Amino acid sequence: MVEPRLIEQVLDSPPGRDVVSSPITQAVLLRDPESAGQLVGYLGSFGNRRRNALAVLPFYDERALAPLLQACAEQPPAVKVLVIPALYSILHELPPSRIKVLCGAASDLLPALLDEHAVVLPERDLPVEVDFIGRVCDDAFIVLTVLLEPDADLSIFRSASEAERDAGIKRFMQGLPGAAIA
Amino acid sequence: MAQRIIIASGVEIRDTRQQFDLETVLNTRAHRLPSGKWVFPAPPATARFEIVNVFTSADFRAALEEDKAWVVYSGHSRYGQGPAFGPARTPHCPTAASMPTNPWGEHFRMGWDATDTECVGDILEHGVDPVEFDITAPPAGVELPGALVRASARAREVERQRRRGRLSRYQRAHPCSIVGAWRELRVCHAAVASTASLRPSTPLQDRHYYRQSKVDGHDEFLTAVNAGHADLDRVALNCSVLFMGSCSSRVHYRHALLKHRRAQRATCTFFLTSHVNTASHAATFVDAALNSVDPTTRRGAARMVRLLNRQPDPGTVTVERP
Repeated sequence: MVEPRLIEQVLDSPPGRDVVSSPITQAVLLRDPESAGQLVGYLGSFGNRRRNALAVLPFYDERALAPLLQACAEQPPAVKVLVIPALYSILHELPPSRIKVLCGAASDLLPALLDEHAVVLPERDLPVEVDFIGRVCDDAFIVLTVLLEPDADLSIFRSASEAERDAGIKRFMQGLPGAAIA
Repeated sequence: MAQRIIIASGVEIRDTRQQFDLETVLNTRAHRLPSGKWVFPAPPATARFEIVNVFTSADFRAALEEDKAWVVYSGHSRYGQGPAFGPARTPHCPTAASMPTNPWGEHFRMGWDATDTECVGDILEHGVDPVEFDITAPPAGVELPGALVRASARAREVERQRRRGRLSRYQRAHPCSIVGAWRELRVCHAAVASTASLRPSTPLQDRHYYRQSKVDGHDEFLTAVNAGHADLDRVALNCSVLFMGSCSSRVHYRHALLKHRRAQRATCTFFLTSHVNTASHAATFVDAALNSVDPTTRRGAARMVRLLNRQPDPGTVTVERP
């Protein structure tokens, strides 16, 4: 855990400052995976703190997976959805076999995302062609599948009913190493 | 020689916040030449980057064929029908009088052989008239996304049951109620089928659908339309990077792109999105490049992914290295 004072020193950096390069980020935050979970707590705020927390999260390594997911458990859907791109960023350089082991080790924490059925609409009110209205759990499942099975055809999942998608997510969880889900 | 970055801005997106953010980055960090290109750093220093912004399908194609170019498509995925380009301030449904050729219906074909799209939200909304793909009779060898394969199987099963007289009495009396059947809109939803677009046209009059749902409180009907990859097939993929920053580009275009890269033994790195997104991806990509992030290297690609994914609504950008 990192002292909140240090975290907030980074997060209060004004726009235009590269917070990832900051000495505190490099020497303290990114070396302490637990601090990733602490940053999640700031995603529900506004302005600099939120923007800077978002900016740092993708730069953690795999050790941050569990703290990130643990921190998500108490957060609203609008915060959980922000963590999904960071998950891909953190894990994507690892081989699928390693990612599977990590997901298995975090299988009791993944429900923070994979059990979240709320839909979070895009933040920015801009023209967008919504070809799939994904719930938080759907978007998380899609990204985890991209990491674990890059060649998987996700159009089937996207076209399925919510009940079918729930079943697919449950099968995914049951297929993780060390899964204890009935 | 300066690294060339080519941003291809598609119809409508060229008029939005994403374009404004791109131009802000270009105008504040790079130097605009009288020719319209931007260079970085500014003269008299030797340019390390030359950046151009293009707005046509022909220029997008030329960008893909340019040796070692870094190409970004900033536009709509058009439900997998292919990138679409149009003049500035193209209306959501231009009248036929103002635009005889509707830019919303002109695509750079680079996806599956067919795709699903929305009758109301796409075809009627934009007044386009894509060629329908009959899911009850898919040609042999056609490559479809799994969702359409499944829809086709269901629709063909319904037809089989119908031919064999095995539909229930209720189904025979209410054919529009058969889930997954390939149904005529004018038979099942005559009012929708006869609705005119703003062109004006009635593009749903002869159309079929296989699924009905509710979107934003209104009835929506999914249909299948021809798409294909004819334009991609004609491209010599010489660019080093292609970032399809449009919504869900991975599910729509990854298959055709990987196949083409393999066939050409090309070495282009692809960046693709997993979801709907509203992020200013082109602006972020250019900004990162000018900060010496090289997306063609393993380390640079990973860094670029992290930078792109730290914006709100990035749609989770993924990378496919050669």
